[in-house]
Formats: sequence, C-alpha cells, structure tokens
Amino acid sequence: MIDKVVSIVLVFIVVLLGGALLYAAVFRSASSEQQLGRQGYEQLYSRTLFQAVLDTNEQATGMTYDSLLAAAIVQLNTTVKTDAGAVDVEQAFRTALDNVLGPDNYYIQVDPALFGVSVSYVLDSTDTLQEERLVIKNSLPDTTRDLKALLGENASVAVHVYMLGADGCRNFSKGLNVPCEDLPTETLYGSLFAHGLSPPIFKGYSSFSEWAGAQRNRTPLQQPTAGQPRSTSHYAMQSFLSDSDWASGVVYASYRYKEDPLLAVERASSNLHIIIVPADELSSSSKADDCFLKEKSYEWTACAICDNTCPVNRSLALVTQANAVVRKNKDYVIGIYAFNCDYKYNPRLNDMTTNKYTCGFSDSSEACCLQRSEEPARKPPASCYVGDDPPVLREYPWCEQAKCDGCTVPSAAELPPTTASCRDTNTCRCFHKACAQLIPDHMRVMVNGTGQFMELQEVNQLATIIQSHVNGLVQGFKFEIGTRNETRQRYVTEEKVMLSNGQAVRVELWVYE
Amino acid sequence: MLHRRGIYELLLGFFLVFVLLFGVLFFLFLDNQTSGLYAAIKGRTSGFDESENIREVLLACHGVTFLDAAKMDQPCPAKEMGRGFTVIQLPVNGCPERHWSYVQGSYSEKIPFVVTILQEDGAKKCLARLEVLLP
Repeated sequence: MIDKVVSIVLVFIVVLLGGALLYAAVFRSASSEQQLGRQGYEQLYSRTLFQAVLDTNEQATGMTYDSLLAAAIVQLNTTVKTDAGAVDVEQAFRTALDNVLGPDNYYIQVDPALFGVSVSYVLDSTDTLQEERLVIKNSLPDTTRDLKALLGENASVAVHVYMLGADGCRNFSKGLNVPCEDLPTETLYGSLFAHGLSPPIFKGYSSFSEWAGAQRNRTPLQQPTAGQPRSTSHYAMQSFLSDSDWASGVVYASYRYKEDPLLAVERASSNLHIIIVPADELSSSSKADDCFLKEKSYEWTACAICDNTCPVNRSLALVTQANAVVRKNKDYVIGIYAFNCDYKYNPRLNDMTTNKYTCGFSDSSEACCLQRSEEPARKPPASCYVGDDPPVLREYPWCEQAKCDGCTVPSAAELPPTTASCRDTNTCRCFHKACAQLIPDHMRVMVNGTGQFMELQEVNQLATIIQSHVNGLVQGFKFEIGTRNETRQRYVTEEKVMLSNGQAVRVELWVYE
Repeated sequence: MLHRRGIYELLLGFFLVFVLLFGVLFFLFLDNQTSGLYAAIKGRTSGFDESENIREVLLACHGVTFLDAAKMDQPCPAKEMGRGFTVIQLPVNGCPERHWSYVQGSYSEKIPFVVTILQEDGAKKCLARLEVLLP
C-alpha cells in the first residue's frame, strides 16, 4: 500500500519538476534576453539623445550645445562668455533635457576628461634682469616636464616666451626649444592702443602720445664718436619704458593667447592660460618720471642711476590695467619678485656717456670728466666736450651724490639673501633700492584675484603651484543637472564623448523609469 | 481479499489516469502560457533591435546623423520602416513644434529616439523625438 502511495507522490513530483524546469528554461532565458535588449536600447537611446542635444543650436547664441559645453570646459566655468553675451550652459542643457526627458526624470553629470595648459613667460630684456632670465631659462624645461608629469601624459603643455625689447630672444633661445617672440616698443604699445589701453603716462602729460610727441621735437641721442664733441641733447626713448614694462607685456600675452588665430588649436586643447612674469623693477622701470623729461644725456644718466623717486603712479596704473585684462580673459598670472642687486652689466650706459662706467673713482668733476673723455687719449679737461658751444666743463653729478645707489656697492647686509653672483666679486649694485618694496606690492595688485605672487628662489616650485591651482579648478567645476537618486529605478549610461574641438568629456546620464 | 485488492487497484488506476491527465493538461497549459510570454518577450526583444535598424535606415535616407526637414516628404521605403514612424519636433530653443507621421496599419508598439532635425533653411538644428512603430 505504502509503495503505491509513494509512487503516486513521485509521479506528482516528477510532473511538477518537469513543469518548473520547462518554465525556467524557456521563460527565464527569454526574460533575460529581453532585459539585455532593453539595456542595449536604453544605452543607445541615452547616447544618441546626448549627441542629438550636442548637435542642436541654442536659441540665444545660435551656437551648438557642443560648442557651449566645450567653451565651459575650456573656461572651467559653466557660465561662458560669447559674442551674444554670457550664457549659463548648465541652464541651456537643462532646458533641452527637460523637454526630452521631462523634469526630474534624469540626472546628468559632465566631467572634463582632458586637461591642458598654455604657459606664457613675459621676460624683461633689460640688463639688470640678465641673471634672473638665466634662472628662468634653466628652470623652463624642468617646469614643462614637471607639468606633464603632474597633469598626465595626455595633457597638453604649450610654452611661449614673450621678450620685452627688440632683440632679447636671440640669446635667450639658444639651446632652448621654445618659441620666443621679441616685443619691440611699437609691437607692445601698438597692441595696447589696439585694445583701447594706454602705455605709461608721465606726470605733466595727459597721455603717452602727448609725451611721445614732445620727445619727437628733441634731438635724439647720438652715439659718441672719438674726437667729436658728445651730443648732449637727449631724449629718453620709448624703449627705455617698454623694455621693462612687464605689466603691458602681460596684457600683450593675454590678448595674444585669446585672439591669435594661429593659437586656435592650442586654445582648444588647453583649459588654462598661465602667464609667468619675473621683475626686478617697477613696471616701465623704476626710473623717476623726471628722468624721462631730461634733455641732456648726463642729466638723464644721473637721474636714471641716482634719483630714488619711485614712479609709483606710472607703474600702478599699468599693473591695475593689466589686472583688469587678465581677470577679464581669465588668465592665471604668477608674478615672480626678482630684485637681487646683482646688476653688473652696463653696455647701455657705456653707449650713452662713458667708455667704462665705474662710478667709484669719480671723486671730482675733473677726474670724472677725464674718465669720460675718449680713452685712451685722456684729453685735457678743455676737450671734455659735453655738447655746449663753446665746450665747457660740466660736472657729472650722479657720482658725487652721497646717496646714489647706482654708484654704491652695497654692504653684505643690504643685499637680498638670494644675491649670490655679485657678492663674491663685490660688483653688486642696488639700482632704485627705494622701490624694492613697491615691486611686490605692484605685482600683488596685478595678480589680485587671478594669480599668485612668489619669490625667484621658489621657481622650481612653479609646476606644483600650477598643479595646485588646476586641481582646484577641476574640483570646482561642477556640471550637474537633476538629482542623483539612488533609490529610483534607472538606466545608467556612462561614456566618454568627444566634442568637436577635440576635448573629451565623461558623461554620466541616469534616466529614471 | 481478492475483492478488496480489486478495489484498491481500480482506485489506484483511476488516480493514476487522473494524475497523468492532469500532467498532460498542466504541460499543455504551461506550454501555452510560456509560449505566449515567450512570444511577447521575444517580440519586444527583437523590437528594440528592429527599432534601431529602422532608425539607422531612416537617418541614412536623410543626413546620416540627423533628419532633414526638407526630405521629410520623401520617407524611406515603407517596407523597411516597420509600420512607420512619427517625428515630433520639440518646441525648445525657438523651434516650432512640428509633426510628421508615416503610419501603416494599426498601432503596434513605438520606441522613441531623440534625433536632430536640420531646418529647411539650413540655419539650425532642432531637437525631435523619433518614434518607430513596429509591426
């Protein structure tokens, strides 16, 4: 009896198991296939959806969403400036996606996947900065290599050098594979005029052009000719300003990067333009305004070397102007303080007044005059022409002033701690020592809100400083629309999207069921 | 004893026949059920694939990556278009809402995609919803 009951139960079990197996084999496989099909469709749907949005045109600007997103990532700001005005890119995408997916039915996050920087060095070509330029030059390959290492091998790191002056690149570029462009006065100040900006303005003049016009009425300085009376009718050339006008150089570099069509490819792969500018004097030089109004060469020299009246207003106007430009163009500026009292090169002063510029022994006007007569003839005082007719003996007062920094070898205590090259040879000169503390102040004005100030000895930290800034920008760049709701059923797509300008972005799109 | 045994076997026989009949009916029912579900699910699965194919064909007829408003009167061969398609241009970014519909027969199933429509003047592209109607 029991065996028969058991056999019936077994039949039941076999029937039920068979049915269950049939159900599982057919239904589940079909179900999972359906699930895969749905997932594939949803991924394609999300991908084509985002691509379609990128291809369409935003109403206010007429620009494609692709261009707007690329601009936002390049500027690392979701509000971008366009010809039609500022555009909130996040809001523009929200409007489009709300229409396609419905409000609160999605969440999207966009992250930049590629980072690049363009670095422009603005270097003063005057003699006083010669050693510091060498420090920058030697650090440049390391800085570029460090930036590559810190930002990633795929990051674009482009470097340019803008040299204030007509002929500084020739020496600087030797052994350096970096594009270098000389900025003579007409190029530098021509760019300022083209952008409605002003070169330096002197007290007593309403504009740079008014001063330049007055200068043109004077006889230009002539090179000394042996046996001939020296010309003393002198005017300060514009290059005496522009060769050390680092603030205007920053303005030039900023606009050059922003507007030059030849740099379009570089701009497209770079998120940040960094301008690095070292300086050892105020912008447009630390020479007093009065010096640029002198008519006699010896007056100019005396003023240029000894007058410690710092041109605060002239320089401040330039750095304030530069700050407004770099803030508008969203550049990051690093000002490097390089006042080292290590001036020991004097070709320009030689050309103007002396065969061998050495202030120390000019104790008397006669000796001074003799020193300045044409060597080695050592003509008598009567032949020491200074340009007057008839020739008269003139004093060379700059060497006799008790407090002429340009003529005085500073004591070791007076030298900045970073000075090294001239200390041992006792050849240091602190030109315009009185302006030394104003230089960092003016640099801070220029980098205010858009950069950083540092000392020359920290130059090997440049890459780290830049990386720190870049990291802050990337972390601060938030492109998120909708709410990331982990509890809702959703289809998620996450992929790398290439924008038309070559930038890559990582897009994570959640579409809620 | 024989009488009692005969009753048992008769009852068991009936019971066995009943169980076998129930089993056959259960299998038939299960097969019917799974076949219907299977067909429905398979249909939907192939629907996603087919909708993608239809979308590709449609885009190829127009601009490969976008539909061309100027060509909306020249739809692709209907035999490749399932039951047809509907395009709804969305009223966003200053674009007017527009409808194009090429539907054959009764409604079956529609699967949407988001596409762009190049406007007739070629000046801009607008967002649109492309609904593929499956046979």
